[in-house]
Amino acid sequence: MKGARWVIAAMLGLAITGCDPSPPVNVAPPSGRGWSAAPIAEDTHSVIAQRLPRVTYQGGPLLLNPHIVSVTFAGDDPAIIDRLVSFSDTITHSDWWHQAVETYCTPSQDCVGEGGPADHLHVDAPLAAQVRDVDIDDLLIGLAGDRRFDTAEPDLLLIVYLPAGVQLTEATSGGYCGDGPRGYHRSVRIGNIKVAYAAVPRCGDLDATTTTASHEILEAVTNPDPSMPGFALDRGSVSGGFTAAGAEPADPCGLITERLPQTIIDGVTVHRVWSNRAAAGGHDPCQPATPGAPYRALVPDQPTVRLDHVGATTTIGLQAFSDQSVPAWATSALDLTGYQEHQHYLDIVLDAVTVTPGQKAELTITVRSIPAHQSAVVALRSTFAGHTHMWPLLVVMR
Amino acid sequence: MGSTILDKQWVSTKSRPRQAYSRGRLPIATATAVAVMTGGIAVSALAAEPPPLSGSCTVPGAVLPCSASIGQTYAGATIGPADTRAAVQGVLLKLLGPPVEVRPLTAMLASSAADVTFTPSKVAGAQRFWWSYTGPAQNLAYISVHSAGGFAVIGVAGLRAGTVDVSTLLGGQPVTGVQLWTTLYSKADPIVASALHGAGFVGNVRLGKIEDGTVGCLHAETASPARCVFTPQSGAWAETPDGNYARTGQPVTLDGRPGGDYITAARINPDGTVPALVPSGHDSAGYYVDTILSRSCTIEALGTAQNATGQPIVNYATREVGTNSNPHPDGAQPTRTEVVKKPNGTTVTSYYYTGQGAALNDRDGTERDPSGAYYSGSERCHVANMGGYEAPAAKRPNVVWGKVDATSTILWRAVAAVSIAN
Repeated sequence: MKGARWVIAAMLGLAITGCDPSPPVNVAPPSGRGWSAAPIAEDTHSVIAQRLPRVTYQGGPLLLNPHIVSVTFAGDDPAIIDRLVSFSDTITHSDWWHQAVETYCTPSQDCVGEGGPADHLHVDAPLAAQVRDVDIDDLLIGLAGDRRFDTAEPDLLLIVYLPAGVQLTEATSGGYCGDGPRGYHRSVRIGNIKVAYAAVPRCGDLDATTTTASHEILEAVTNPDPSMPGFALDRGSVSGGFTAAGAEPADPCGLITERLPQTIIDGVTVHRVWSNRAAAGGHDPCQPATPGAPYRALVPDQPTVRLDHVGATTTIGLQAFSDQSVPAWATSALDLTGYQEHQHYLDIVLDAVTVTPGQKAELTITVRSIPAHQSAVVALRSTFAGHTHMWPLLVVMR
Repeated sequence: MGSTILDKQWVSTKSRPRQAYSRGRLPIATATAVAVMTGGIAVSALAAEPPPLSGSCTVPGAVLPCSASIGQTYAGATIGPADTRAAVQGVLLKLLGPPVEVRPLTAMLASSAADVTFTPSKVAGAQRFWWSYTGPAQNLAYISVHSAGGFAVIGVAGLRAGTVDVSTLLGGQPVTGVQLWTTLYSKADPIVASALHGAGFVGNVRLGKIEDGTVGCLHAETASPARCVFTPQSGAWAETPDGNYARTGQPVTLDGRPGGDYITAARINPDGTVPALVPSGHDSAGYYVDTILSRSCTIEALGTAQNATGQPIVNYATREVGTNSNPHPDGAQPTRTEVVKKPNGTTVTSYYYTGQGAALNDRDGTERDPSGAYYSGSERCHVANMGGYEAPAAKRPNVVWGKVDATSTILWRAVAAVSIAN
């Protein structure tokens, strides 16, 4: 098929739900790829492995071999533009990418692979100081009308890099950067074609920008139309804590790394992303993790708690686990959503300050106030030698 | 380039390129429309061997109406002379994405039949005809028009009559038969908001366009469609480059006061989609983000107790629901009974249910699990159609003067403003 090669496996009569949570991995390179991955070993004895959710195929479109076109603007630092263009050209050929997408094959074995060559786009005019997401839609429609890019390019993905000093806003979340989001992706309808794109404001230095860009590129490739999820965690209550900051493959890692999701691979700073392989082995699901570092977790007996009125209280069991033999570590619990929103939604009492693997503890939660979104995340934190792992517990207050 | 954000004083004046729909009559497949879809492919004259159809659904980004030729393959279904359901589903899967399930509302018709009128009465051999449907189905969505070389699919969701001209779509081939189809699923047509006013704006929440100060609405109990006045004080609404929209599922009065007997509704697009708020694909940087509703929802038949999917409702009701339904249509077991004396002196037994499957009355038509979280998936999200409008569906007893009538039957109805089930 000419044009955007968005693949919808369900078109082939395949079930959308009930996907194998650990898609089969081929020894021979599958369609769309030049490399293969080793089979995933499920650790059936690991409670962590049993409790961590998996990214599964939800039936939506994909960009199998994305042609990533960076869109840059006059007024931006030429050296930074060069780095971002190079980043866009090389990111899908990196080890990070290979690891990130290794299990992203549809049941019909269409797999997310490396990107193809693309002509980048530099706009010879500066952007306004304040830009809305709807303005970017119109900008891209205008650029397409001027034939600055070909909307029929297969697997086209535009990455709009906003220069420093340009503030991005949107209706649903207000302003970007600071305490707000760092970037977004979606598709814009241009004529009769939906074109996937991401917008990356300059929330910090180059490392911060490539961290966000890697996040958006992975999620735009695996979910080019966010209204039709491609590869994502299921949003049910079983994984509700992990999907509280989004269900696409990089979102949970922004949450459970407590806003420190970046890591450096081959000299480039990228976002850590959800790994089905690591989850299946009972390891830190946000990869790449620190090599050799043990994964510690305080795992609740139930993934979601319902407390439907102010004053409602419950006590739930927790148990400490690690993927290695480790000494005792410090624990704590936090009303994370309340902390993030500068509110006090929950009173939290954890009856242990340190735990060892296998040790049980109890957490008492009492509702102090109910947020408009009627849900909050409790962060169950495990800290050792200055490094923290967080397990999210969702509290539904309706 | 036209208006852009490259100017410092940018003003949003540009309308988004959206498909134009006509109401009250079918979008006629004109030669112009076909030329757009095909890039102006010339139509062959009839020959001994049927020529390929024009307006192919294989064109990138194709939209309805479009045509499929015998021998083409869509979503694994190769178009042949038989098995039209698989063929039509294949085309719609390509155009609309999964899930798609169409069901024949009629057999292949060569002329007028019960509930379906054609003018001229015999459509076989014709290339242009008027149609109308007078049956009870509210989820009529597509018409397929067949010829020797293939068929054309035309979106007619929300419509009851119109004119079809397939002279170009079918490449000049005469019509051999016409079939009407219902759809099981309603899909979101994502819209980007530039500003939101009020609560409840989660991803994929359906939106009704505010036109001339009114929005489509359905009476919560009778489901009769109307246009309700909608002002900024009526409820939650969104500004978009395409105009203003009200969130569906909000109770309003006909004159636009909040909390009335009508429920805001979305007008159904002919391709079976309804406007909905585009889900945010943003990197929240670890901050809590609200849920995303299902893009596709099951269309339920109002006034019935049967579920369109055939599967029982599993919504976990946290409240007690009184009804005269026993046995319960979704398999719930009564926790208690009560004999109610009616004003006319007769007595009726009310059965009270709670927990799984007891009832559903959610403003987004979506079922919840025991922890209060939404279930995902099209089969757990429910909408109801009436008169070309769609509203969130509820499976509940009747409401009279703001109170649940525990002597009424649990049926599919529009969502009610009172608390039922959850």
